[in-house]
Amino acid sequence: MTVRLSDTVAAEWTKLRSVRTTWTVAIAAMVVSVGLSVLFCLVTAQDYANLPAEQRLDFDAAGTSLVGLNLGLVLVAILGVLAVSTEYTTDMMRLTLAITPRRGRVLLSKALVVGLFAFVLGAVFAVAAFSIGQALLGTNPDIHALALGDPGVLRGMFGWGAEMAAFALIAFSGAVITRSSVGSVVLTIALIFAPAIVGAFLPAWVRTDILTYFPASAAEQLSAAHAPDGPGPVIGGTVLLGWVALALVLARTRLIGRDSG
Amino acid sequence: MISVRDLTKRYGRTTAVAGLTFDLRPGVVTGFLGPNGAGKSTTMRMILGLDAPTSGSVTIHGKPYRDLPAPIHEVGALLDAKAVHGARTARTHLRWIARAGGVPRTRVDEVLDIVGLTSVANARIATFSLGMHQRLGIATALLGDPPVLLLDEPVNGLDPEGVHWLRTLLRDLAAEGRAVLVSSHLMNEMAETAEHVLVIGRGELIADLPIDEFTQRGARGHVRVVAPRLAELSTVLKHAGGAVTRRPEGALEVIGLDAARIGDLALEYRIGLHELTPVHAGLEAAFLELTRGSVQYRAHRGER
Repeated sequence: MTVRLSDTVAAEWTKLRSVRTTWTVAIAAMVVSVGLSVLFCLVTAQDYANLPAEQRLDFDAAGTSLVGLNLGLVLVAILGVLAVSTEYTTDMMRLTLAITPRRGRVLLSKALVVGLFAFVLGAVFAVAAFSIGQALLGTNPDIHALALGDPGVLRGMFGWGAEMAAFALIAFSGAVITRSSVGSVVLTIALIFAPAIVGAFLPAWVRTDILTYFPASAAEQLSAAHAPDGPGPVIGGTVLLGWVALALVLARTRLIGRDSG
Repeated sequence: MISVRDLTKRYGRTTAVAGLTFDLRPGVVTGFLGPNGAGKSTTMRMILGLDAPTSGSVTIHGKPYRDLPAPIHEVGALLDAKAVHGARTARTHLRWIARAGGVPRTRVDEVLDIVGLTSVANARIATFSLGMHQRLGIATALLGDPPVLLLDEPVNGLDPEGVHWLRTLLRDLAAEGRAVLVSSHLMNEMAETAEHVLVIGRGELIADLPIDEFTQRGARGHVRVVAPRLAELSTVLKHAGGAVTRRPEGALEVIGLDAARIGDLALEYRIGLHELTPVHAGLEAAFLELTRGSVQYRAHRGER
């Protein structure tokens, strides 16, 4: 008999779903992603008339109904960290690697499980937040609410799945590389928010030519239905994929090169 | 089955394992003895491909562990019973391992039954005692029904009933033709369980022999003699080449002459004997004798 990749993937999925924390964090991510978006839509629908004229002219109905996902993203990234960091804190990684000595396969299986789980969460949160949000926005006759079939919307929903998967995987890789949950959570939050914050103090060309290619901006090209200025979803998606691949390759090197995982 | 050849592991300037060579025999419980820090766990980690040897090799049926197509069907291991995630139940913990190792799900309930954890199968591992952790670890090792078992200090934390259970289990597993390697720093525990011993100290192999031979070779036993004419007997025995110590309670401890020879000498000199008892040194003494000078952490005060 030979153990196959599908066995390892199934085992990693069993591991992830058999810990209550996974579901606590997933539900928290849903509350933040959908709840905040819904609240924001409620307020916007009521207060639309008081918005500055230029905001009304260029009103981003899709973006308004998805604001919460930007924060939910942090919690989904934490899920990626937890999927591996508890194995280091409990020393269970030794058991994992004794059961499956092919370390590359262990990393790949964990990544597939974390990535797919985060993708599903992201897409589901996006569809839920969007649908409820548009219904609420539509109660105001001045607002042109959108439907899932409108241009860019469906791509944006999958884009959010991809963005959550990407950050969960970057955070996951960080946890394998640093073997520290706190370290990799801090690193990931910095990677999500720092470029935008620091960018505000930098010359415009740095923002357009360099910071656009950082993971968060690249992901935005993919996940925003109302795409902001930039290289567009295809290049944005490819760049994001590149970041994830880089993170996973570093994690693999680290996992394979060291004693006892 | 398992061949360890010239296995060496260095961490910087510290040598944890130095040129270890041995074969694990099927059908026998082998005790892996050594003081704390002697290199037992490091050796086991290298057998399982967790730590890379600095030099030397370990093969299982001619292959390195990492190249086995279904590792837990070949080698079952218990490394550190506490190194598990407490949030899972015993059953879900064994389920992921079964899945990862290509073992059918039904086997999970079988091994839970073997180790006596069926009644707590759905309890979170965090609520387990150390003894229950050990039982869960043994269940893990048995999942793949492997011909080779490596158990690192499985006796730790077991209650007397558990120790007895484990002893019987290990002997039964060996009787089925499996190779069973059990590490321990508690020597007397091994005397009851192992048929063969590997002794290491400071990473070096000190002994690789059947346990009876080990006990005899490691420390010489003595013969206790009680006789009414003690002083006279003492002189006779010394002349015959025995090392004689007089005990305060009125007995002699004789080293270098066996009980038969002492009895014959007493008869020859017509000295009556009230007691003639061979005293075996025991595994503990044999072990201390053998590993003297190779103990890494030695207390200098209060040492006898």
